[in-house]
Amino acid sequence: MNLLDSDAIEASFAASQPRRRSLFGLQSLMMATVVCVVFLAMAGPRFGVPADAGLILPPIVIGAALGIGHRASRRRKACRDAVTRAWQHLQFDEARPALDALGPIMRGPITSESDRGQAYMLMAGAAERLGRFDAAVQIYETLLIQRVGDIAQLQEAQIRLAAAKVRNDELTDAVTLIGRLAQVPMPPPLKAAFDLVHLFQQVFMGHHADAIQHEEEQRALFRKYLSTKAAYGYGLLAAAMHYLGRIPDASRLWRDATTLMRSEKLVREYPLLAPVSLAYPAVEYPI
Amino acid sequence: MTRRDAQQIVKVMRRHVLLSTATSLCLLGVVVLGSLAASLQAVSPQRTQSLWTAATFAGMAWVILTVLSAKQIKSANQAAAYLSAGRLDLAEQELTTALNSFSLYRMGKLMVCHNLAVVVHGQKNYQAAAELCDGIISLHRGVGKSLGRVCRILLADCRLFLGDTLAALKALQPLVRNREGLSLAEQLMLLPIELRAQIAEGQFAQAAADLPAKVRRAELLDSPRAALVHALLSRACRQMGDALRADFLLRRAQLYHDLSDLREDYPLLKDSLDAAKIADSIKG
Repeated sequence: MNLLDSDAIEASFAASQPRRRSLFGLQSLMMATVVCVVFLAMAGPRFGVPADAGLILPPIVIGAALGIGHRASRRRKACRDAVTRAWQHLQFDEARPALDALGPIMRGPITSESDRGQAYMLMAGAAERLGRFDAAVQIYETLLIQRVGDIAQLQEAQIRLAAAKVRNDELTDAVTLIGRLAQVPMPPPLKAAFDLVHLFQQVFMGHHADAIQHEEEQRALFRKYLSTKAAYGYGLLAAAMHYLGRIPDASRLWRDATTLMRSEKLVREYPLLAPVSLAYPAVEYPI
Repeated sequence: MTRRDAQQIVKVMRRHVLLSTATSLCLLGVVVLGSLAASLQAVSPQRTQSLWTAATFAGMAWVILTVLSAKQIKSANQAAAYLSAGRLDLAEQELTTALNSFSLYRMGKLMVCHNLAVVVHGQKNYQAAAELCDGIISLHRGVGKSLGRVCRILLADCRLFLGDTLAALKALQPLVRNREGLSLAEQLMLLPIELRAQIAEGQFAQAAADLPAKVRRAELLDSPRAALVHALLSRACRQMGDALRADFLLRRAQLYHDLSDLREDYPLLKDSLDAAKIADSIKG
């Protein structure tokens, strides 16, 4: 079964849920170990405990407790390593290897909520790069409904959900969500990411005049916080200018966008930029 | 924190690490010897009972000391919260207190010291941060290889800010020799610092080598560091006589961040800024 199928996503969320029962069981086992060791050490034959039992049982119980602890810590390390590998692949747009790295850890419980949240954010990112926006929407929605991950991850998930909904043609939902997010105070890096999504929605829906209303502020915000991804913002602003007939501005913005990122990549990420890429020359890459 | 304070912290940490190693060995010895002697019934039943009790208490002591050592992790987390709130002073205080308390685990201690070095580096106190990094590198042997690598990068950064380029290059040597062993996050940390060291030493050909891969990595950095790397690469290309690439990289650097903002921290960028001004005046 493909990891991005609806049923597989559901199954993976269920399987990766940390089990409170197993945590309780582990705590009970540790407690039992301590009690058993102390009791057997203190009691001895006086309380009818065979002398051999007092000698043999505690090392076995301690060994078992250490073994379980060791296994849990190895599992946690494996999760962290897989998340790191997936992140590295996604940085270079390698969605399939990222999913391959995440697959094995999604089949069992992930005890750290933060690791679990990050793993699903990466999985959704890989789905978006593969054009599976339906799967990305499902992952973000499940993350938000089940409140998986820390507050920063959940805020980011909301913003990325809005973008995925626009791409998945769920425009009514996307506009409602963006309208709601616009009222929420955010730290500047998240605000920059949100503004990019908002700009995309406006250009996608043809609201070009609205899109360029805060051009200067947006450019500054994108430049400061989005690094290379600011190119998407410049590209979308160029598209809005282009459709408004402001050719010199569109040309200038497209030049900035293509200085930071190749035009093919811009168009692959935002197909609505294709007409702009045909209308204006891209900067040539000497590297 | 002065350089002397940092040296004192490293000294105390060294003593604590020695003490914790001795304690661990002692407890482990009691547990193993007690259990073995008791299991093999090599001594009288009464002694067997006492040995077993000693082994049990050693085990319990280990558990209690482990729980107490976990306090340092709590302190490290608290310090991280202070850091994200921009309260470097409180983070420094929290970490210094944590470093002065006993921990059974060397790794925990080194982690806290590393966090303190990051805080002190953030305060632009490069002498003290370098002392702390030196201390961690000398103690980390074997455990926490990633921590050792990150400390080397931080140490090189401090040395560069202190104007000691050769010491910076020396700190980076083991990482450069084993570049394949670095994670992407470590490579991203290393890139601007290695480039600064190379440019400062006049190793322009090495700085400009493997340009596409370096640019690809620079694109993953935050805006100011991406600008810095592009400006440094631009300077290296210009020195190598490749004006086309140098101009392109400089244009990109300016799109990432205001280079004049970076000049205060990185005087190496002066030449790049001059080139940018010339380019602007030609355009104008």
